[in-house]
Amino acid sequence: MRKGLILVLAGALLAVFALPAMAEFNFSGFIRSEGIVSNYERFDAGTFIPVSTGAESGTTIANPAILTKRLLVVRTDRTAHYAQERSRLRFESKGENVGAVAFFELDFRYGDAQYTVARNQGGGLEADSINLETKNVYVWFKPMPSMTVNVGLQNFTDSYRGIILGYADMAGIFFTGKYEPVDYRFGWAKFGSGNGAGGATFTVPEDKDVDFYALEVHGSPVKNARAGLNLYYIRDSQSTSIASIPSIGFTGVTGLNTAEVYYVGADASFTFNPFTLSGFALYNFGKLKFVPGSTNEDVDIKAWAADVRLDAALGPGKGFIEGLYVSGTESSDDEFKTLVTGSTWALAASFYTTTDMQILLPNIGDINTSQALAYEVSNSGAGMIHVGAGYTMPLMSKLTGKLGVGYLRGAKKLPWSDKKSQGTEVNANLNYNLAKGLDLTAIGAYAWLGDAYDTINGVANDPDNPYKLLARLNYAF
Amino acid sequence: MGSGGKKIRRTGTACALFLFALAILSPTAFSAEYPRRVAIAPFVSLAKEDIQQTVSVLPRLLSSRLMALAGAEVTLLPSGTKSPAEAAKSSGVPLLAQGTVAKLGKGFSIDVTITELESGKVAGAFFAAANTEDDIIPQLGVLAGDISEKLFGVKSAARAAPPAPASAPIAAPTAVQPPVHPAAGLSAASAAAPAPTAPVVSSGPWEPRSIVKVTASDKIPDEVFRVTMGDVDGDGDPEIVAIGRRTIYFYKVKGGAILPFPPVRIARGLEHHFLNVEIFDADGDGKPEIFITDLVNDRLRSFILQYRDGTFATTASDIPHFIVLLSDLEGKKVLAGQSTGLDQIFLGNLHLLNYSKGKVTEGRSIKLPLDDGIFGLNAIPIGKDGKFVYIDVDEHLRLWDGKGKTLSKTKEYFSGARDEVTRGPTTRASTGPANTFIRGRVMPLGGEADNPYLLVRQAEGSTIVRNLRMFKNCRLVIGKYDGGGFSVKTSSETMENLITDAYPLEEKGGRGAIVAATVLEETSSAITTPASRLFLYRVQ
Repeated sequence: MRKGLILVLAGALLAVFALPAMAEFNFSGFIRSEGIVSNYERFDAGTFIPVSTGAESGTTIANPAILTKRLLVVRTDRTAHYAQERSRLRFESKGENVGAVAFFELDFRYGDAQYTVARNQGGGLEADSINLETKNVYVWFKPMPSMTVNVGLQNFTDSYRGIILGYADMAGIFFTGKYEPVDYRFGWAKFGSGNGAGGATFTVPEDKDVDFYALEVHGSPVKNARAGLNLYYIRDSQSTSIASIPSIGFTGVTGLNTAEVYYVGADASFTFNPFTLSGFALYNFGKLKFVPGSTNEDVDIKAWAADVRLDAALGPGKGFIEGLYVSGTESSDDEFKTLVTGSTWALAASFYTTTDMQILLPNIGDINTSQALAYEVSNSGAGMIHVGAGYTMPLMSKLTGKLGVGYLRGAKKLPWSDKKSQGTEVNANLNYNLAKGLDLTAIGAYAWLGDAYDTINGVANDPDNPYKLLARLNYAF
Repeated sequence: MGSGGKKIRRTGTACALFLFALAILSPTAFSAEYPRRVAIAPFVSLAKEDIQQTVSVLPRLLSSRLMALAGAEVTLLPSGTKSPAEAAKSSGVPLLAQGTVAKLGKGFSIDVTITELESGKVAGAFFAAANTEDDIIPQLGVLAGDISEKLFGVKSAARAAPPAPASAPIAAPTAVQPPVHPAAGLSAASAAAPAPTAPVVSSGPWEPRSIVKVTASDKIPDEVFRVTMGDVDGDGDPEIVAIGRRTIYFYKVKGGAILPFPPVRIARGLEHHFLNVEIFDADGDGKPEIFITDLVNDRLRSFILQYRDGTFATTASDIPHFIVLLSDLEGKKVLAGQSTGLDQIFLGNLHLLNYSKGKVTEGRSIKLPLDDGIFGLNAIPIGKDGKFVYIDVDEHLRLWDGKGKTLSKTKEYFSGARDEVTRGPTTRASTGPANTFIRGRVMPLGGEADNPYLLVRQAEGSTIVRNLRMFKNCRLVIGKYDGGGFSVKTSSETMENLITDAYPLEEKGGRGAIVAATVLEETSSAITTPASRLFLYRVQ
């Protein structure tokens, strides 16, 4: 693998230097500031479990052994209010056949800290913090007119609305192109490298990596339709990283050796005015292997997911309704039936947001505060059944409004409860375009909690229903 | 000093007096050049007869002639409660022109006084005499020449030329028979049907030397991004059809002026976004259709209008294509379209479009790399291999062969697009929603049949922060491919406001053209009211 990698990189460099240099430079970005009032968001990210008393944010639920979800006291008298800011800066140098992209981000909360060296901080008096985060740095080039190669730290989203990998930054090499009548994407990325100690100290032996491979082919079999076949493979031999899989029924994960995870599926979309019907189905299989001599037997992965969505131009606006099913694991199962998502290896690598929820699921517009009842679709191992709908319409010149509603439940019982229903959300937003690139948005969301939160590990629980109000100013340039 | 000295003194004094008299009496006594910015108040009729209809258009006619002859910036003052001087001062111009028309016997006297507003002094007084009411307008041209020379220091040949007939100063182009080709891509009624009044590239050694602004319309309270011209009502005078985001505006070019043309405007709902407008007789019935590309909630639903019984009727709708008019594909004008993609704003090949009996159908497709949108594309044969010119996503002008392979790409930027289509939210992989700027067009403008001159807009702005779309100046350019790439032959004056689109119409004999252009004066925001104007240029 290493020799092959070196050859590919050498070829890429040769291609770059051989091509004529007549580059343009483009700088774009945004600055986003928002104020939040919420009885549950605590400037944190991930799944939260609402409780009425006791544990505060940061405390993790310890049962089952490797389920690490944060308990949050959700009470109206504990409403938080704060402001935060994010900026993204994208630099692109591009020529006819070659270019480079560098993409950075910086975030902070108003008044958090100053003179620090840390990400997501630096909004205190005097600021002066080192907090620039690198999202992407990669080269792209066209070895032939119909193919583009991206080499470096880049962004990838799967063909399943991001339920496995949603806008995930990864270092790798990907090829995209067209080969009539289809277009394709294939490539490789390394999620983890080394002995599992975060890559800072790298030791031999070599087989301690997490590698991702992808192959996608899409085409238009008939007019106004598009369909694709997608194959993904993740191999994890880091063993310690697998500890974060929210498994049910295991007494522990000691002795894990490798995880071989395959995904095979299809996605399609079809337009018949004024509707567009789209969806996907995938099967996730593979094996969790334990070291020889372990008391645990190898476990088969058998999970699946399906989604269908209808978009429609209705009157002056557009609406949608979408349903998602992701399988889950019950304590009695001897197979792992929970979809293995990218969030196994990094928070928010799986990012499903197409129903535009604010509380049930994460939202595409989240900055650093990004908490949800189900932050990723494996949903604490229980899988999920989710239905969401929304309608967006222009209300007047430069003012757009949107209403949304959604429902969430586990496909199986949640690990802390013998119930499945997690909640129903309603949300709304108004967006006003002040000037070119400058938008002011007001968002509100409220969720009625389901019976899955009536008890936590058998203890009665009565949190308030979570809500969030947000005012956001965004300038894109 | 003796008698010789006396002689010298007398001679010197006589010379001084002579020079003084010369200065006083010289027609160039008014040759002090004033800034070429003047407001014109409504003319006053002093005649007993009712000639108000003629008198009311005189300010506009004087305005267009001053713009043409001296390049002056003219503000037409409305009649209202404010005095002309107050109205002129508030519009910020230094000069005010006030005119009267008096009838003396059978003739008319047109008198114009120009006042310097700051000092209140008279900068100049001018007059012209007309034998009849019909003669007033041509004499106004002489008057305008007089003002241009004496006040602005611009000598023009227009003063010496005999007055042009007032009936048709800008004529609609002659209906020229296009080359006869098999009707591929057009389902015309017959190949022998009367040719549409559409400009074709005329062969013959014609060389554009100048692009001069002739006149301007009133202010349009909208951001107007696209314009086209054609004789939609068949009266010989061209109409201008321009589009804002969701409003279509109609004007007529008549008598050297751009006049509102009833119904003046057609507006649609908030969910609409007009992207393009074309005029073309697609079904060969002799009556041109107006094709409006309309994006409704992320979906292309274009429609067609036709002028009937004094208004514009919709003859077809719900057309899922961005519609463009290709100037010369295999020898003739054809309609072409591109559809909205499922996940992308524009996707797919170019399809030739047929229109007949109120229905648009797809003809053959041509594979071109149009993922960045069809709107920067025109079919113009250039040289042996050049088939298409295209303003690409970075706003360089490209010459393509028949398969979309680039034969030439300019280093300069053209078009200056500002109108955009956005789709989807800002994701974690991006800095904003996916946006596509609707780039401008390249139009042929006479010259050799296999290598015509090309009219295109050029705007100078930030090439680094390109999404801001801030341009510091703009102009129309006419250029040509001449072996060394695309070279600019002539251009209009550079202006600070953005010219958002331009469309030419060749004049009789193909020796010139008029160009309608849309100019954005103020963009739309929460604190500003949008404003645009239509400009008419003459290419000579």
